[in-house]
Amino acid sequence: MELLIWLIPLLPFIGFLLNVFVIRRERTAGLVASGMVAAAFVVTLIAVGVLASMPPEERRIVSTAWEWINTGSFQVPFAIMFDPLTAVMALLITGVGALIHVYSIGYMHGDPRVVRYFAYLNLFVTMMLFLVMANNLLLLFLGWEGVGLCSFLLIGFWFERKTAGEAAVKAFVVNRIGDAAFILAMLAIFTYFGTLNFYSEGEGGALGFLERVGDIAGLRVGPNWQPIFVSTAISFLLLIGATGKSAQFPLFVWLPDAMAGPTPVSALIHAATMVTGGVYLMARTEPLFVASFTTQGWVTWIGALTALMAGTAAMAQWDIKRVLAYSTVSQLGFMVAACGMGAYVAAIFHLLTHGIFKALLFLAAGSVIHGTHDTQDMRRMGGLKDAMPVTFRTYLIGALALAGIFPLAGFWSKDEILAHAVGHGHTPIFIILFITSLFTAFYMGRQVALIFFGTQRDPSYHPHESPQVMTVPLIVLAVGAIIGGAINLPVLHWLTDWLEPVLHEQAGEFNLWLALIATIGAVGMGYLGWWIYTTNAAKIKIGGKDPIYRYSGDIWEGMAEAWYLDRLYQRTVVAGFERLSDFLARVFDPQGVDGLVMGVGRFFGGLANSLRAVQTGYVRTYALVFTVGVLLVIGFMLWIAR
Amino acid sequence: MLEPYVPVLILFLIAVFIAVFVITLSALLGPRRSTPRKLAPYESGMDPVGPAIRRIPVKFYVVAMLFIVFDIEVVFFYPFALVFRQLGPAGLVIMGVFFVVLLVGFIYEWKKGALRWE
Amino acid sequence: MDALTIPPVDLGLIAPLLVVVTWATGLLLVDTFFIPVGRKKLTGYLAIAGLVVAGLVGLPLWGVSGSTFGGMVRLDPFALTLTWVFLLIGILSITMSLDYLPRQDIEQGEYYPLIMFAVSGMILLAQGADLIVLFLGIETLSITLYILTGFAYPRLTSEEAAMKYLVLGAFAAGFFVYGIALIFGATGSTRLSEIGAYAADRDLGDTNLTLLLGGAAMVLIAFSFKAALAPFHMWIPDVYQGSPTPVAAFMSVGTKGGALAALVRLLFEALPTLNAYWLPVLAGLTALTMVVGNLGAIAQMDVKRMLAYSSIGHAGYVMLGVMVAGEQRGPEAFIFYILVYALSNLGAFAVLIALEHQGEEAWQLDDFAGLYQRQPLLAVAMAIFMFSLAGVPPTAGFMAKFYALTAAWEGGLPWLALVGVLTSAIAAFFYLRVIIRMFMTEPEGEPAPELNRGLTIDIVVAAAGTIIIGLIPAPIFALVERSAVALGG
Repeated sequence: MELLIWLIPLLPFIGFLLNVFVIRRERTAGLVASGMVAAAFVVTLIAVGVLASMPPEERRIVSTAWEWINTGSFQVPFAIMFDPLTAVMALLITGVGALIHVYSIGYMHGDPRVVRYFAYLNLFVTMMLFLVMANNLLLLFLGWEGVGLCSFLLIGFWFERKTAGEAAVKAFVVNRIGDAAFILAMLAIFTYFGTLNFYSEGEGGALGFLERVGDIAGLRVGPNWQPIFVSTAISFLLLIGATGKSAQFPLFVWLPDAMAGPTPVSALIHAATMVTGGVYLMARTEPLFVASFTTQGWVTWIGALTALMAGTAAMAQWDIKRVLAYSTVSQLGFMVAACGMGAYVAAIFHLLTHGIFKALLFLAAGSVIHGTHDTQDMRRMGGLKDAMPVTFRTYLIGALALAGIFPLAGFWSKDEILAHAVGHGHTPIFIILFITSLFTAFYMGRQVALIFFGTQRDPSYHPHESPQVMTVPLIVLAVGAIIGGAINLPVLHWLTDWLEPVLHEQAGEFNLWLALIATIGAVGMGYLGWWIYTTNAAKIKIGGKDPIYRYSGDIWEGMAEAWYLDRLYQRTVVAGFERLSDFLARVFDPQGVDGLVMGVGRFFGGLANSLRAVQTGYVRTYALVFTVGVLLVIGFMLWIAR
Repeated sequence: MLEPYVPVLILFLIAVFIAVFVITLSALLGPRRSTPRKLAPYESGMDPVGPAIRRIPVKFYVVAMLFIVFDIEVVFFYPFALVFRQLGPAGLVIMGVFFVVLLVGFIYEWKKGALRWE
Repeated sequence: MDALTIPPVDLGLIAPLLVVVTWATGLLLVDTFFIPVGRKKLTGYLAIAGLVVAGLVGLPLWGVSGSTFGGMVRLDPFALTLTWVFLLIGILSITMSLDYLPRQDIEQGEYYPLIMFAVSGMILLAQGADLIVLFLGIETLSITLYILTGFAYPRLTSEEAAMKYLVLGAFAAGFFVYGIALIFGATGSTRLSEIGAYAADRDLGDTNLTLLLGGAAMVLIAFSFKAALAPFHMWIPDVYQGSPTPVAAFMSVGTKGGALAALVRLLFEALPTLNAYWLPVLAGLTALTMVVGNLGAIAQMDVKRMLAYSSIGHAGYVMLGVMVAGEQRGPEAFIFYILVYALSNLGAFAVLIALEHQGEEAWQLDDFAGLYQRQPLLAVAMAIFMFSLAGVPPTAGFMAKFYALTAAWEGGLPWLALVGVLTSAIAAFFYLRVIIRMFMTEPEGEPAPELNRGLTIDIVVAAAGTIIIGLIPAPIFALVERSAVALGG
């Protein structure tokens, strides 16, 4: 069994190695890469079967390959584990991943760097599996950085497009901010628990930190005038880490830009799997979060705020993929808010269904882009439903699922989150999320109308349906989007029971009235969106404004720019760093030595002038800085020695 | 509190005093009858025409460096000669090692032609 | 008059050092007399052999602790492990020079013995237990480096670099000597242990405390200069850029390792009782170093210069371990970081050399454009080094950085760990730029760079080491753990 679970991440890794070192032909690359991930899916299924045959409270397999760090008190094993939470994540990653690999064969056909593409994709799956299978934070971090790296490489895959490289760097650097907090969280956890393991390694091993969160109960840290609970500090740092990876406020700016990558990548990494890493992290370290009331509040509000901001932003986009990107951010906000409210099962449920139907939407969008010869601006589309029947139908299913229409997958998972918010008295959160879900229906209606209805506004291309290798995955995912909700139906709540050993949650109550109102609202708003953009289809011009712009004005502009968060960073943080770096370069770099001479020269007045008269060359400046340093060091030491 | 260093200070002051005293004295007492010949930089030398900084052949520096090396050697050898008997054979060995190292350097530079003038 | 006696000398304790020095001296003669011009590679091979022999000679000394020369020189596992690391640095540097020198038309036999002498200086720094010996070590290292920096004569930048380094180095050496004098004046000894005992045993009184602190400050400044701590780092970018690339590589890891090894001893054998004074100073310098190094690197378009700034930044991360060397984890983090940094950084420089053609310098970011298409493995190796320097798992660089941060955090400097985490987050940006050029731009029609045997070995060793130590660091950790125990005692 231990060997079996090691196979899961190793299979895609073998695919990666083959693609890097052996394979040179496009066809083999695609087949091997898809085959390896599909094989991993099968192995995962078997592992799940084995897991299910065990008694619920024993459902955790831990396997240590070797001691990773092993010095005195600091021990971290290279250990993976397989428990119910990991199982569902691994199923999603390998299952959806395999479909996306197959789809990529068609989508990437003819690209000069296909082999490299599949190598990256396989590596991504490997790293993602390590992320969800790690039994300690350090290994999780390895996967965490690994997926970030693959994401970086794949966003910049089409580097001929100028924006791709910039978007790649942006994604990586923004994520580094979250990573920095993650590292600090690891340091803190190690300091207070002495281990980074989640759970004990097998029978009789030392307990992992998730099993002894009680140790830090009531412990405080920080300055005397304002100490905070250790649990709050740690969970808050983890939260920052999660906001980076899961694209939450205030770090979501990288995700829309990340759409510069190939569309299957957007589907796999930036919708279904990697961006859910933050949610997974919070679910995994749930005891730490539950221990801190303060952090839970932050989590909830960050999630809700993100959901609303991104939901409104999605309404005003013209780029077919940016709509979906903002929608992803918004849905991730739902999950994060659910975590904050303590509804971890609902969050994971939504994560799973969203993974399926958002992957479907992205792949269908990719099919649209493919069939319209790389058109992404929805103003240039319209009336594609006849030319692309399969894509249209699957897209519609995905849109309905996302909008939360009964009885598709999205309805059940979203409803569970909303019901929890109502049931546990989070009224303001409920209102925000409910409004967001109405917006969701609206922008999906708008998008379907813009792409598939009306007449084709740009006649310069001939749309065509995609080949079968692409449509078959779409159909499979569409089926999943229809029936996916079945895994946690209100009465059966299989998922809740399955995750009970990890998350210890009782099934939430089904709120019939809420379900009714939500469905009616979603249908109404979806129809409204569809109606506005079909009746006004004639007024939409290529490069023109939105029909609603006339009535909403600048608010629409704000939505289109995602409330200017990006520009804010550009003008403050980025510009600030540039100026600081520039300043440092000027002070500490001879290429701009004048700055120092001027500055210090003014400071030392005549002294510097006389120095300049007798000395030439840059060494003087270095010696001057040196001397200033000497004065500071000696002065300081003697000053404290007083 | 820095009492042990008072003599050093006194010595320093005396040195400064003497320097200042001599210069001041000659400036005060010396008669000033200047002639063009006297105003020339080198009263008795040749006319200093040409660049102020002259290029000196690098060989001089090489010789100067060699001189310093052997000078240091001598500085070591004198005290060694004085305590030669007290140190016994161990001292001889150590001095021998020192000498061999010096010798290697000498052979090296000889071979490299540092001693050849042209 | 007391009879003069020569303290008993145990040459066994300095065996590796002895081998390196004797070998280098002999090699100098052998090279001059027997090795004809144009076949100087042979000298290089012999130098490598010497370093390997020195490493082997050290093997039986593992676990031995002792001092000789009247307590001026010390051997313990800490020094021995560092000796091995330094020997490795020397070997890798020589390997990458073998083809570089003839290609640049600057091949002369003296180069290899000089590197060996520099290594001996580093070893002496690790073994020194007396301020005078430390000074000897630092000067042996520095003077050879002055020559090596100017080795690319008649390239002007090289001479300029040598001149700058010499002038500033002499300046710093002056501080060192003056500091020794003051410390001697205060405590009556230059022996580290005796200074420590003196400072611990009695109430120093105002005068002596002032003298001791002043002296300590000056010595710290001299070390800061060698280790490139801001604001004593100004020479680094110019000197690295001007000197022959393998020398820059050697210097970036060598001076840091040597100087900081000595600093560890100085701080924790001579000055532990004064840590209320030096800790804030060093912590401040470290923070400044991390900020200046990493931010300065952002502005660079020249990769060699960028690596110079990055080496300043890394000096800060090494310092994290040095400052808390009183705890068990400090010296461990220090040794581990030096080793890992040596591998990654030497590898990165080796890639630079591979891209460098005769006479023309190919260090601009654009010269890396599309390297993946031209030389996929070279690009992958460079990517590994960049990720390691940036501290991205699973490379060794991440392990080292994480360990250093843990050490600082636990050693009571959490705010410094915070600065370290934040600056390393920034650092990703400029390392990434190189990767972008390599993987995400089209090649600009240049011929594939030459890759010869020495460089290939270097790059492969460094890349493999970087990855393996990242994945299976436990053996190395076991080694450094045992090396650090001795120091704590």
